[in-house]
Amino acid sequence: MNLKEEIKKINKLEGKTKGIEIKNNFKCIESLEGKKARKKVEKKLDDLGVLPDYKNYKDFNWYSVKKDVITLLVAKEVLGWKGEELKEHGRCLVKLSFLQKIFVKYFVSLEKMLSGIKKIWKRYFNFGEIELKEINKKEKMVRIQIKDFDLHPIYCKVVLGYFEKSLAFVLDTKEIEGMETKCTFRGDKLHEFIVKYE
Amino acid sequence: MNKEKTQQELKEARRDLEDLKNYITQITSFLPVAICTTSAAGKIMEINDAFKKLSGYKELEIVGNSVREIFQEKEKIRGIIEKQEAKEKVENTEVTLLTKRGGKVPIKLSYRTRKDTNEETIGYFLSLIDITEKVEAEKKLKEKVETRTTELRHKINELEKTREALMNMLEDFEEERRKVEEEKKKTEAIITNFADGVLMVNNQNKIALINPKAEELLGVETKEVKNKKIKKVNEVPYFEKIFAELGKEIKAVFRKEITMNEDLILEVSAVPVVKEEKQLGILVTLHDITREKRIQKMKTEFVSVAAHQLRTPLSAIKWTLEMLLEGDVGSLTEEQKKFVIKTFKSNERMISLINDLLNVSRIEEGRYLYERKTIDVKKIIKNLIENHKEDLKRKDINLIYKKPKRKTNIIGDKEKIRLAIQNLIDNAVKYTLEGGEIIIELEEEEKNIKFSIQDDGIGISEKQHPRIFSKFFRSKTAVRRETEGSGLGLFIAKNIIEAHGGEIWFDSKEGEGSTFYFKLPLGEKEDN
Repeated sequence: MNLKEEIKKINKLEGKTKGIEIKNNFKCIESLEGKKARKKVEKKLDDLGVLPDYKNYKDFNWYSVKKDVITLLVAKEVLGWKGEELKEHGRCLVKLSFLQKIFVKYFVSLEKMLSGIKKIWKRYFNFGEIELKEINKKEKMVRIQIKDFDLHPIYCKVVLGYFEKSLAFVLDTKEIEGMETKCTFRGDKLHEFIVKYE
Repeated sequence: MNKEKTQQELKEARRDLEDLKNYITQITSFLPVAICTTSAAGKIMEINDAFKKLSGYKELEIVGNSVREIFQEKEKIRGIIEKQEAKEKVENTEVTLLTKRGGKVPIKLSYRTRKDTNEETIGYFLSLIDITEKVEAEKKLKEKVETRTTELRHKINELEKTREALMNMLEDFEEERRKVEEEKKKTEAIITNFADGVLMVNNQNKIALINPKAEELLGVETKEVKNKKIKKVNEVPYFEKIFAELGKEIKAVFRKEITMNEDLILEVSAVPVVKEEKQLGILVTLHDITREKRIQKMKTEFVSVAAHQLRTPLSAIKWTLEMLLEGDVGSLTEEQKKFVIKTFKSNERMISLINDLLNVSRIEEGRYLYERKTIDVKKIIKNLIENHKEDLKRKDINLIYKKPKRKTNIIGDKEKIRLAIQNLIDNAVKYTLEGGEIIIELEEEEKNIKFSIQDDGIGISEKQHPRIFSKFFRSKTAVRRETEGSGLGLFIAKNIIEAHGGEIWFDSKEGEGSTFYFKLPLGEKEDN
């Protein structure tokens, strides 16, 4: 499937996210790859007629999530991103997220964070449902599931990076590694992420 | 309608939130103090521009990292975070920030707990103030203090050494002072017990010291004269006499006889006391020579009487022998004549000795008065040379007489001058070896005549030079050469010359000969 076809498919997606997150996408691209890379991505989006007017977006207003997904897709295409780069993008979004700072009260402990995870999710997306399935301190792992969140496989990588970095704010370690154990795009009913730490 | 209102309110709340976010972003960006926020786990959540500038990190490089990583004192930071819960805040603790480029920046760190509405700790605010300048200044100050301390320590050491040196000097000084004190006591004891009287006149012309012997001799007590000016003590009769003799400004005097009265004759010497080229005063010694003078007088009188008594029979013997030799009492055989001549010569020597003794007696008694007349020394010398002709011939001595063309007149006692010159010529002839040479020279100077007689005879050893004009002195070489001789000739000559206001001296080297000189003041000049 070519890019245009994929965009066409994504354009059918419903659901919204906060303007600040769409804006942070471009900010992260520039931070990770440089200004030129960001402009290149913007140009491609423009060429495809899908460049969002993100500079005029309000941080806390809702905007279609498809703009977010298309931006990531185009960035992947233009910058040649693979899984690790997408994860890094997710990590970067956490670092720049203002919402994350607002929800800092949940970043006190694993339990606290996971207790507020649903609340936090709803601040980002007006669709899908997140659930903390397990905190296993003995095994040093957490298991998170997301239902009704079938955006695009690239988004799964970004979300995984997002989870890894979010946990890093709570855990006193750098050794955090996550993986998507279940994915709707692989035929599962939901997405499941297991994040392990040392 | 309600839904629309709710939507409107929600919209306004979002706008307010956005404004608030912008406000917070702008104000943290504006703040010149480096600020960062952390999660409760100490993970950096946000940094401002000042923090970026100070640490060199970009937001993405640092957000999410443990705040401990950016400080050198990791354990201290951990402790601070742990303490936070109890203490709420920590202010101005000094730590070191590790910059991205590996630099170390001293900072003052303030921590404050961030709490939610339930008063639960949800993170921390950190402010970092660069105190590099302060630390540098402190470091410089510390270095300066250390340097000054080192200098001070060094100076203290030096002072300690100086103190030790001074203590040593003080000990040495004390030792020296003790020695000086001892020496002073010794000197005082010597002066006190000195057999002669001692007076010290200081630079202010005051009597600084008078010893017991001087008190006794001068009939005064120390308290009467000590520290008094000479002018004042002159009221004491003896002092007046002494200082009159020594002069107003006392100069060095050697053995000056002063008759204080019939029963006291003092021999007074004055020597300057000099220390390190500075004259401290004059030391006057008073030696009582009364007894010596009496004995001398008695001796002189005895010699005079004895000589007179001896001369009369010797003269009678002389006349008798002359009569015998001239045949007035009949002619003598050759052998008889030979014995009589020998006896006559011995008698002559005896008369000569008696004459010498009489002369000496007169000199010592001060009766050696002379008749002042104009005399021609050149002529006297000529006559004396004539008298010695036979001796000169017998010893094959070449005598050269160098004389000025003009008459060399002096005012004096002709007989005495003749005697003085005769004694000098006698000695030269006597002590010049056979075949030797004598040079007599008479020169006229501006105010004097200068006489010299040079021989190449036996000479006088240098050791005996100082005694050559003493009474009865004969040098060892002279005694070996000529057994006969009274040792009075030079003594008489000296007294005669000096009595005429002249001076006499000599040069001599043993084995090489002698030259005797005298000078006499010129009298009236006359043409030849």
